[in-house]
Amino acid sequence: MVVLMTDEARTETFDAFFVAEFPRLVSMLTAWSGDRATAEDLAQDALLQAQRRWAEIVRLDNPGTWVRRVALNRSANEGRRRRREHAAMRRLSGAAPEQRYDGAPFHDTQLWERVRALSPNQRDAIVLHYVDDLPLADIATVLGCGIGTVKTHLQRGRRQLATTLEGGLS
Amino acid sequence: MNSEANGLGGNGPDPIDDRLRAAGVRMRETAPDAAATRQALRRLHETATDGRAVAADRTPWMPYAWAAGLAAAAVIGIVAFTARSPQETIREIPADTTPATVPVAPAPTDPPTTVDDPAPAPTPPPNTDPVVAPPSTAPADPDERTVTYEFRDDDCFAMSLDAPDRRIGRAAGCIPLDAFDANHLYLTLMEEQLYRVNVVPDEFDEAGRPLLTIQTFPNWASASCGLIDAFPPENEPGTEASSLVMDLIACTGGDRPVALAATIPQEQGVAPVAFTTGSGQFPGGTQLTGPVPVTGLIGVEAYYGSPADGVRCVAVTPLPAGSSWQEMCWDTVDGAAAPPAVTAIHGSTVQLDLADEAAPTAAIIDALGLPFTGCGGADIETMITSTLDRIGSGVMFPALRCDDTSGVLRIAGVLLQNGPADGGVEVYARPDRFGEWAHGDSGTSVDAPVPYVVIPHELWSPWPGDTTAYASDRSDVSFGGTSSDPAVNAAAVTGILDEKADPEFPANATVLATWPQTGIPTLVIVQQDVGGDDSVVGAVHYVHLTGGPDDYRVADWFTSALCGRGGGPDLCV
Repeated sequence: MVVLMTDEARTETFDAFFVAEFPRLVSMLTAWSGDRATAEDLAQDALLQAQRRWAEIVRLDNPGTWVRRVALNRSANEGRRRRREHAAMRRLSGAAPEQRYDGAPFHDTQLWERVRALSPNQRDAIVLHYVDDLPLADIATVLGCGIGTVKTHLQRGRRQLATTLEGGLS
Repeated sequence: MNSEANGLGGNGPDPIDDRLRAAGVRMRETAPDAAATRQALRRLHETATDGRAVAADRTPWMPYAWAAGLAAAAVIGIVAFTARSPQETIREIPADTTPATVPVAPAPTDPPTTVDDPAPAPTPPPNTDPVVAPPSTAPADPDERTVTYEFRDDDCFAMSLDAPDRRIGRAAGCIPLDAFDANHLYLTLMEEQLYRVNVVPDEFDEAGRPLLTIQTFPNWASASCGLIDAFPPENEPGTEASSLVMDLIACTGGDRPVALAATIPQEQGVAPVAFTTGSGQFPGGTQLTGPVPVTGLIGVEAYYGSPADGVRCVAVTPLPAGSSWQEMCWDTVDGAAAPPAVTAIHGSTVQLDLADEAAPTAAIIDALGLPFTGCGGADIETMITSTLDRIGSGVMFPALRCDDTSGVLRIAGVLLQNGPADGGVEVYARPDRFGEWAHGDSGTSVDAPVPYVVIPHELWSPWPGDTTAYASDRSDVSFGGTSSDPAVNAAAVTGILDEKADPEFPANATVLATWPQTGIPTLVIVQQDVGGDDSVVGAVHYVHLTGGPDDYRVADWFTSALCGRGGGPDLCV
């Protein structure tokens, strides 16, 4: 049996999807990007993409993983732009730019900075696991790899954090 | 909080895990509340209605006013710097993005070092949303090409070549970003176009990871080549395979690497062909022999290098679409082998015979010189046993692929196995989504071909096409207590799998097949299904019990890529 969904029904399902996903996305992307405002923009943007294609997205088995993948794709672009800006600012000013408030609880700021310094896959896996609280299978879907690979990223990421945080944080 | 990955770091508490867990909880507590979420939803609907770009209703905070000016200057600086870059025709993308899309820039017709044209300013990669193609806002140029990179781990990536209206092809490869050798070519061929992938330092972040670049490579025939890695095409699930074949001849002679490359159309007489050498001659200046027409391939010509020039290793490798296999290489014997003869077998399949019959390791390079009769189990069995009859000891033997759609036996990308010291040869064959999987294992000697297990297609059909095409993980496992009862051995394998699994990630292992079916097995194939919802994942494990006494054997454990099933391949790639 084919069930046709009206526009109104589609809107209702999307709104519920948005309400459920937006806060989680903002938290995850805040840890990912180090900037709350950027995180909100990225979350909005990813969800807007989902809304525009909702008739297709809603048919996916897990629209949440789709929207996270979109968000991280866009975050990567944003991160690239900001890295270049910061590097250029360092060259031009001779000093590092001022730190921006990243939206994280103050005593976690250093920790998330270290997480963001990990390799991209390790960073993504850790943020999706510890902040977004995604199951490994969903993380694997978002990252486009296998569960075993996700585990490896998590393990190596923690090991790297243990090294870099040694003596640095209480 | 999920804890399925917690036990990875060993026994005992993990302070980093605890700290991350607590920080994650605190971060979630800062999430927008219900009112802020509703406001964001209203803003989204407004944006969707009037078509504005997404932007939060607030003013971004900047530390100092001059920072905005500096940021603008920084962008200008980037443009100017890039314009002076020698990579002027290349779009750079950071190697640490997943995935990223860049337009494909045509390569210069002159050697890269002589080009002075300024580069276009780097532009942010366009949207690379998975699954659903981004909407177009203007009539697309049908000739436009974009390449999307998706890093699968630190050094390995898959890339897709897209036209505005279709997926042209995919390829996968690895580049050692931290140990890149500029003399090492990384190439892939999609839709008659050869692409070169390169690595350059990130000028703006010296401490960061290098960048990848890509450009078409029309002058590859005259390039001075070192070692070559061909990024093999990959089948996009549900799409047609790439229509072209990448062939490589990779030769290494002592400290003088030589590379030959060729393209051969998949069908005779179709599309232009090229078969040339890296430089037309070996690095020492020795001219190659040829060109010599390739029998059965219209327009294809081959060049040969003499072993006397220090070439110890010669290979011709048809690299069909869907293959993940890159190259083969055979040692000639003390430089005594005569130049090889190249003949066509079927379309893209090429057989290369070294003329020196006294050199058993060079007798037959491509073992696919068999009449194609079909992809049924009996056909594959004939193919495998015939092939095993023909190859000599010590010869690397490719996996075989049987493709009903084109009627061509191909080299596949499952496994290469030169065989252990006892001369065993392992063969996998998989008709691409149409027939059965098959496995052959000589066990003890290539001189005594043995039957193989044919696994019904029904067992594999639920899994995406790339699930079993790649042995993504190999580990040696001590496997004790083998028994003449296959059920006992199967239980032992599933037990190991259970031990390897995390408690919250159960193995749910099912033995698909053991071989031989009586006695001590040399192969156990296990399917793993973690269950769950539509995003269910699973894997296939091949456990080869090799070496050691009968009661204690070492297992080579191959695990296929884990992949979503319910979501389909779209969410797997």
